[in-house]
Amino acid sequence: MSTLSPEDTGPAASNKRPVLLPIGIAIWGGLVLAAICALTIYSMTPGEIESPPLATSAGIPVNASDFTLVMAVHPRCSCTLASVEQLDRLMTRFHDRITARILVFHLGQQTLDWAQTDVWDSMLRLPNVSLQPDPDGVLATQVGCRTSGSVVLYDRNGQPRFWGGITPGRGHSGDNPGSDQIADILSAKLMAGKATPVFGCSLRSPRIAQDQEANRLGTRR
Amino acid sequence: MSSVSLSRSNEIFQHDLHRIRCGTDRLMAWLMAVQWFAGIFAAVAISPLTWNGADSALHVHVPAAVILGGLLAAAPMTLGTLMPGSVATRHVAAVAQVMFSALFIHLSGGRIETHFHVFGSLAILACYRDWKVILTATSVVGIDHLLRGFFWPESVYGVLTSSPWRTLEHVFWVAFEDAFLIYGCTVSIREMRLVADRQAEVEQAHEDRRVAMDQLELQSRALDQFAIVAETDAHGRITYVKDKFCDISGYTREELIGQNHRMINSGHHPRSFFSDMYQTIYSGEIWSGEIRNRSKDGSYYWVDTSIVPFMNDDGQPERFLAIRRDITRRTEAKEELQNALERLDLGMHAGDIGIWDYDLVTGNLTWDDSMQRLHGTDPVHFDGRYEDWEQRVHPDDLEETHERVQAAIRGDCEFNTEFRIIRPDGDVRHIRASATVRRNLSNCAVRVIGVNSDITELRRARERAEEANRAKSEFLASMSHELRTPLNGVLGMVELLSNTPVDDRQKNFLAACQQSGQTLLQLINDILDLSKIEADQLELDIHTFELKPLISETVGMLAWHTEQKGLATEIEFDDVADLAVYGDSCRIQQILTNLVSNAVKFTGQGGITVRVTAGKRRDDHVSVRVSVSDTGIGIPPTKRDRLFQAFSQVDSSTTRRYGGTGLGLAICNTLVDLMGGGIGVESEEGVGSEFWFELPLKIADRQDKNDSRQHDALRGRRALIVESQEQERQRLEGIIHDFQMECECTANVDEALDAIDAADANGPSFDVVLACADLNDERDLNLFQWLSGRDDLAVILTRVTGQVSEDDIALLDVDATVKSPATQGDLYQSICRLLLEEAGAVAQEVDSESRSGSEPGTGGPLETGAHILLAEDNEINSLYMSELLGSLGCTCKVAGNGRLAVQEVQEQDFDLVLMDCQMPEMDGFDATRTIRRLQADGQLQGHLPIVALTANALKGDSERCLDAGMDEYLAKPVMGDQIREIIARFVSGRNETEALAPVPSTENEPASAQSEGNAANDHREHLCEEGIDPDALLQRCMGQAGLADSLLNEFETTGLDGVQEIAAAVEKRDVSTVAETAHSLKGAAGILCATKLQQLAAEIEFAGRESRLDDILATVGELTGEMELCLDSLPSLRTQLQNGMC
Repeated sequence: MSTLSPEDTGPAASNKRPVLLPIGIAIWGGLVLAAICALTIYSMTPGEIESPPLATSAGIPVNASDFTLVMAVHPRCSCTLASVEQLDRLMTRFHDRITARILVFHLGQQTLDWAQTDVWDSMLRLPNVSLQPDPDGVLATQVGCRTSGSVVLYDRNGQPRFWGGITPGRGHSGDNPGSDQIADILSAKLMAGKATPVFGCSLRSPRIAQDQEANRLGTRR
Repeated sequence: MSSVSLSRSNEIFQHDLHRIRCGTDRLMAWLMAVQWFAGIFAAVAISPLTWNGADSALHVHVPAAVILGGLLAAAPMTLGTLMPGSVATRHVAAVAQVMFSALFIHLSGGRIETHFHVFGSLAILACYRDWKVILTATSVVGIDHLLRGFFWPESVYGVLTSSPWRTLEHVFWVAFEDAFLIYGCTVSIREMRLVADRQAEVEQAHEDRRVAMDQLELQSRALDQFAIVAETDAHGRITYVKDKFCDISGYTREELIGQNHRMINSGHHPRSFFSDMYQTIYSGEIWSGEIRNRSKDGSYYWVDTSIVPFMNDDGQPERFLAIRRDITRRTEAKEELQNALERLDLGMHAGDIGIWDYDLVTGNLTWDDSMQRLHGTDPVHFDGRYEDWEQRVHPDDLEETHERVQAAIRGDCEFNTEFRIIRPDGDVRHIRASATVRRNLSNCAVRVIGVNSDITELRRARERAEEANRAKSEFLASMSHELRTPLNGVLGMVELLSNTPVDDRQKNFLAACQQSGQTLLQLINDILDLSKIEADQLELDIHTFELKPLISETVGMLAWHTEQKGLATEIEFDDVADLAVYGDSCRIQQILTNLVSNAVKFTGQGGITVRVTAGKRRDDHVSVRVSVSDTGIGIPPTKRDRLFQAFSQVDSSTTRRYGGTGLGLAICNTLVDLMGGGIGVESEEGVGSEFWFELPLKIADRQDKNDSRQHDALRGRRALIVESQEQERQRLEGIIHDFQMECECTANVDEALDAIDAADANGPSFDVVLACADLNDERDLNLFQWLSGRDDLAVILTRVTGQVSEDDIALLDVDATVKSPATQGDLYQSICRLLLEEAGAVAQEVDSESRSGSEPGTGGPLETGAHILLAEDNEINSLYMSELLGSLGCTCKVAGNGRLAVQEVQEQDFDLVLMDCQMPEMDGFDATRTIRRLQADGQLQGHLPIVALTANALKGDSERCLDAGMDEYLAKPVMGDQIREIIARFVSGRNETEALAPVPSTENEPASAQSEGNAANDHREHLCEEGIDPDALLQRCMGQAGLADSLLNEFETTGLDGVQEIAAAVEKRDVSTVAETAHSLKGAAGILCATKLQQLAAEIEFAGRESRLDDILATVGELTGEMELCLDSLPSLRTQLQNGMC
């Protein structure tokens, strides 16, 4: 007959319930919940948004016969892919009524290779979409896009009809109010949408922002 | 299932379940770690950085993966390590696992694919086989979906808006999976329990089997310890054997396997024995019995055997198992017991011994048939009660016997007694009874078992034997008396004759005669010794003595024999001989005499050497070894063992040729053994023998020597030894030195004269000369002639060679002559007599104290003038004693028996009574008692000393004499010095104030010398008388004409044969036969007092021994004529004897 080693005496061991065990488990559960809540809050925190100017003011050429969608992205932001996917869905659905221009942020002093990531390749495969490198995010700033994934929808008049984000959260693709408003606008169900939160990396670095602010102030003077 | 198995099943189940859960805990721990690192990897790979334009920073997902993932994984990993198998561990693991699922769903933005992680997690958690864990996980999943679906639906569903139904749908799907997982867990648990049950059953069965195997092994081992097991097939061929079978049979297993069992058949049992056995076992029954088998080495052994048949389905035996037990010892013991019982039964029956058994508890007394027969009763008339037995015991013995029984029961003594019983027919029987008492553990007697034997006949036989023994003792005493009495007369007369004037040669003859008498006396003593030995009455007389004189004198006593046979005698001493020791010198002398006599007897030529050597010496004891070597005929090795047995000689021819009774060595052996020593012999046939004895003797102090004073008397005196033989010269020198004298040795006349001249010139002069003489050498004769002129020198002739006659010796004119070889005693006496004349008292004292070497009756008369009554019926003894007492200056009155002695005592006053014990009418004992009674009654005044004279020498005789009232005890033959000592003791003190009787003066000596010369002349004339002297013959026969007539008849028959035998031997020139036959004829003629015939036979014998055949031829004719003359005179002699004319 086989015999049991002391460490295998499970039932007996399970009876040894340390006093601190429930406390430890409770603390552990609390910490886990707190961490998840923090992560969720972070995920649901949007970036900066700004009302876009007219296309002409921003120097954005518009399609006279169709809507023009401008999206500013940061090629190395992890959330960009979700925005590209959402854009993919819109472009797939409304490719005959919209032309998209994606402003791809890249460092001015760097070559374009810096921006040509996997996301770059994904964006090239989108229909009716043109990529326009945006050194140091100057163009994005001009159209009021301060966060990667920000979208501005211009009508044929260069009038912005919608601006904001088209993802439900950071890096999250899926149904979201931004995409729905754009679809409604393109479907003529809606004249103009409300701004939606944008989840992504900031397109403005503080150093460049200071330089641009200085340049602008200088020009005004 | 038994309770034990149920318990074991639970144990197995719990153990397996715990093992599974522990394993799953470890699996979950690993899974947590993997998921943790996968999260980190994904975070780093997918979103390592977060950007602010051109500026980048670590993406929050990376620390979130590290921290949150680590946080999730930490608890299950920790508990899985520390508390594997515990409920908390698996529930925490379940919570952590589904939290990982929720995290993945959240991070994936609610991608539907990530929801499969939940299902996978639940499936993994099902490994715990604990449906509660699944419920826990499901609860967490439900709560997560509910909360996040409500608050952050995009994090769980990927949309910003979500319906509660969606949450329900998700929960439903989870519950759907849960249902199967829980079912699976339940089934799995049930199967696990079933498996546990089976395993428990298997284990139980295995344990039962193991126990059974162990028991079987133990039983097998135990069986093998004493049983001899073998198995055979149906044909009796051995197929299996145990070691013990090999051990007892002596065969190896290989030799046994395949062989038929008949190989160990001993043949002891008949064929029918095995037929019965096979019939039994072939019928399927077990056979048991005892068999004797034969082992490989041929020895036999007994086994108690049981043979078990194993039958096949057809009812036929297919194999047999034989279990045996070695009962060889038991069987042998049983046989021995049976034999012993048979012998005991036979002995009991033959000895008419009855057995009784008395049960002290029940009071039952059981008798066997012999007991019934002993008591003359039968079981019907014996009620088995102790009282019944008591009624049969003789009333006079009952009390004592009863007390002995009770004492034995109490344990005071053994029950071993004799008593009488009265049989129903009135016959009184003597019973000897002995018994043993059996006791219980409390030492209480519970049973007495004993035997009775009828010793009535035995007692009668014992009484008869005691009577016979008494008769034997009386016979021995009587024989001793009858032998000693005439011997006493012979020795006494010789002693008296030696005191008459005889020359030295005649004195030698008398000494030889006395020696023969002593030999005869010794033979009687031997027989008496043997009787004493058989009667265990031999006692030693321990006293101080010196070894060297004892050995020398003993050898010297036998020198006459060695000289006659021409044997050289040599004595070798080492230092031990100078010791004075404690011991029985007489017995030692007896042993040595016997050994030397034997050596002389069995040695024809060569010599005899006596050696005295010391063995081991310890403290005041020394082991003295005395050996007697001869150059005799030797003893065959096969006959040596018989030497020391009584009446045993080498063979019967030895007795015929050499004589002897064969008692000597047996007595020696007993004496040596009695003295704590050993005796033995080494011998080579034809070369010689060496007899030896070794005795442990205690060393005595020198001052114990009682003769040191004697030696002091000669201290400083000077002696000259003239001896041509070196060995003899050295021996004499040793003797002289023992006398504390100075000594000078010379080998011839010239050296002797030179030594005497030198001593005279330079001083001191010699006092005595000890010289040998060759009468054929003129120079020797001149020396003795010259010495005769020296009055200051005493001359002692120690040895004579050449033609010897009395006249020749007389011509030498020496002062004294000693027998050759000269003994220490003879020399001492002669020297003392010659040198210490002025100290006569000393010499006399020395003479009285001297031992065996002393001549009897040489001490001269006492000065007591005692009047002595001699009660003696034997005339010869009376004559001897009267002469002896007269020579001692005493007057003697003879009474022929005890009655006359009493009368004489009443009529006259006597100073001493010498009382023979055995006399007619009234013996000495009664006479003594009568005299003592008269004294007690006042009819006689004072105490009259009475000394017993008896030939009885047995132990107890002295006590008998003293009991009768006698004062002392003398054994016959009585010697002069003994009588002297007795008179000195009992009379001198008594008459010291009385006037001394006239003492014969020394003036008688010349008269004696004169008469000695006349006697010698008469003797020589008497030797020349022809024919047979009838007067002498009748005197020799003590006046008994019948005895003389029988002697004449014998002479008439054999006398002429002797002469003819001599003549025939002469013709054959066989001088030795001539000498032997002449010697026999000489003896016969001497007995018949045919002196001429004796002389002629002696001359022929002498000539034969010297091989002078011519002289023999010249004498044989004269011998024949003398023989015819004697034979012719026989008729007239017979007439004279018959007519009493002599």
